[in-house]
Amino acid sequence: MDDRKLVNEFLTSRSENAFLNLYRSKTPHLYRMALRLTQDEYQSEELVQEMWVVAIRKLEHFEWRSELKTWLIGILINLSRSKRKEKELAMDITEEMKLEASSEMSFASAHDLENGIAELPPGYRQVIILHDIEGYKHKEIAELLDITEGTSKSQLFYARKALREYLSEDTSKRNES
Amino acid sequence: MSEDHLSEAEKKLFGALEREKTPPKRLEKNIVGQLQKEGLIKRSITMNNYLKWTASIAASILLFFGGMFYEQSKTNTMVEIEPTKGYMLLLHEDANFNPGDPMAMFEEYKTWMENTFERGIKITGQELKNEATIVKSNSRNEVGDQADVRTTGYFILEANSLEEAIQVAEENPHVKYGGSVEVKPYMVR
Repeated sequence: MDDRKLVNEFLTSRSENAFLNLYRSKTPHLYRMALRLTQDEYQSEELVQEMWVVAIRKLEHFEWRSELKTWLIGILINLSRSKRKEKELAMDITEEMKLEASSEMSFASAHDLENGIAELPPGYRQVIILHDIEGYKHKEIAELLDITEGTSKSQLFYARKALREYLSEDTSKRNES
Repeated sequence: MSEDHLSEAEKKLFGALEREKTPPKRLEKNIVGQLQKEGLIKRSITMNNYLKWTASIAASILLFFGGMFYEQSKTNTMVEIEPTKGYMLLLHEDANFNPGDPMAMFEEYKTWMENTFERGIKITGQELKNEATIVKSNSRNEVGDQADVRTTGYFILEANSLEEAIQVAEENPHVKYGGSVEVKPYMVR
């Protein structure tokens, strides 16, 4: 069933069944993304739950200027950033990675890559997830994250650099052991 | 900032990352509960509730009016049906099914069963789970509760004609709430 039909059926009936059809069509993707963003199962569930509450409140005003999935991802990421800001204020965290250039990600598996992504600072992680995993363009990422295209490009550049460095170290360790 | 590019090997690796992950079932329940609490979605009544109610109502009606043999268990009720007058009503639901207030539904089903019995039509029913298994010669397919159309209950009745069975089905509140009812005559050889 296409997204518009799912949304129209829900808005017409507001029934649990219609919601579940919508929920089950979108949540596996969003939940995977939430896990990557938070690196924590409990926080991911909390994030996805809050995302659906916000989305259902706003759904009747959704104007289809983007895909439904993109709109939901936007809500998810904004909630994730708000939560992170709250945490940072509480813990006074400043994250800067000192990076050494590395020519290519010398990795062994997708598992290593997941670990590497998990090690990235949240800002870098968001951009690399959206660009290299989800396939969004810098213009779309800029809109989703409310940043400039230049910032998106810059974040991606440093994210890849950091990831290559991490994976390079990780490979060296594996080779030593 | 000069933009770098992923190598082919890197692209391949990113492409191999998992895109979806099935969330835990509790998440679905929590979200539905939260949305209901905030009044953002309607509370659903399941066939389980109203068929249990109507089955018990039917039992009392049949015993009171008919004095006939009527056996009731926790999960099912049995009524003897004359095969040549037997019809099955299969209750289907899709996303259009939109149940109303539980007590109002209870009254409607009670009235529907009373009216059906008063017309001289024996009737019994049972709720069915959403989940189903489609069995073929070399496969079993679980269709799960997310199927577009779900068969969520049935009634068996003894009517004088197909037309009469169809009329009973048309009056079933399930239709009013957006469900559909399939009327199947017994095959008698």
